[in-house]
Amino acid sequence: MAAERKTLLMDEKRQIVEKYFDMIYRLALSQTKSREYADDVVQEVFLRYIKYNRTFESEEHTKAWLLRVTINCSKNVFNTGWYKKTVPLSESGERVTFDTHEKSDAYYAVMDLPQKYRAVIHLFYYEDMSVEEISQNLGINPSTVKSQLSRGRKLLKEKLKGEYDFV
Amino acid sequence: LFRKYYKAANDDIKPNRALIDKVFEVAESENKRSSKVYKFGLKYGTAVAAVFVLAVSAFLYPQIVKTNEDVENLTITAKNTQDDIKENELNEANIAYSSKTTEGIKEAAGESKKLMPENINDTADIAESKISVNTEEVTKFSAAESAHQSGTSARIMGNLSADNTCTADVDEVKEVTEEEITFITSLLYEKFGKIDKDTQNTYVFEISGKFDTADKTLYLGRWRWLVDGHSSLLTEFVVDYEVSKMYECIISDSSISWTTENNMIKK
Repeated sequence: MAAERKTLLMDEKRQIVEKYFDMIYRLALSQTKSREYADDVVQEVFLRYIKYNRTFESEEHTKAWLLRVTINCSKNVFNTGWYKKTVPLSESGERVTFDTHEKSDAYYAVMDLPQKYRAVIHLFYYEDMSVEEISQNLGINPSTVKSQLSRGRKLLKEKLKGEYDFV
Repeated sequence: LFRKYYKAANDDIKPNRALIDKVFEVAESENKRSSKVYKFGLKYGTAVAAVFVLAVSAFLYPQIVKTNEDVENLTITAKNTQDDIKENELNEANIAYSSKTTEGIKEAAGESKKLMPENINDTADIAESKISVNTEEVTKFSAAESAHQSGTSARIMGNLSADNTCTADVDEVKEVTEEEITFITSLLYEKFGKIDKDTQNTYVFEISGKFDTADKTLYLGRWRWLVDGHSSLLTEFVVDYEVSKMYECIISDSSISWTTENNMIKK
């Protein structure tokens, strides 16, 4: 019985991992700006999730947990001694390339933002989350989310020199 | 549009999905390693612990017996000393009693008689006060219990109504008149103000259409910021004519969906 329950639990966890894998990877990439570190962060986040013994109240709760752990693990990457002594390949020249310059402009404009604005901008523009949702998922005040969103947009506008409509 | 290009760029980045299998492999191997340690610990650890406990008991037994005997002797000595003290106190009391005069004894008897009714009254007061304290406590407890119960039932009610997702067809959206737009936007400005206090950005409300639901007509709108001359979408929403209910909504190609969980109009 216990073994069956364990298998069922692992199946459920696998479904969640497969569902949110892309979302977590892209958020980690937006935070670390390096595919290598994003891979590390994603593995760390999902390992923690698989080992996490407490049950989540709902799928929304699981999603919020995953997002918060991703942000924290990404921050930890910058605090390690290894990171301080090395420069990942993708930061030292191997950049992700896109087929149109518009995509490239938009993507790297976000990547050039300070880290604290990147999470909010990414969740707002890519995941289509509202201010309220970002606030709930990241566990920060809605006013802080709005301020970061506003400042991030200002910086994006300066970088892109008004070429795009920020709707 | 910035959003469009940023999304397209992110969609072009393909994560390495082989990592999923790798993560589960690592988790499984770590789990096995920990369970092996656990089984090993369970099998041999218990035996080692039992042998250790027996050895310690065998070593300490004579000393424990000796200590028990010492404690018993000490207890007997202490008891004898206490008996001696009590005997001395009794002798002293007898001497004091015999030195008292007969008048003194009478006065003492008279005073105790006078005090009797007061003592009775005091006892009654104490009993009354205890009863009232108990009654208060019972009342408080009942109030707390009923508050707890009502809280529980309120939570249950909240959960029941939390899933209210509503949808409408985009085809059902009709045009709105200038009067309706002016009326609703003026109410929205009244509720939210003209400027966002946190960012100092100006609010812009657009009402783009309306549609009928079972209860009432709802208006479809967009809420924007004006940031340095360009507008920035905050959210899309549905709102009733009186602006008493307003919910965030998602508009797809064919439908509008919203949940009545979070009314953006604070009462």
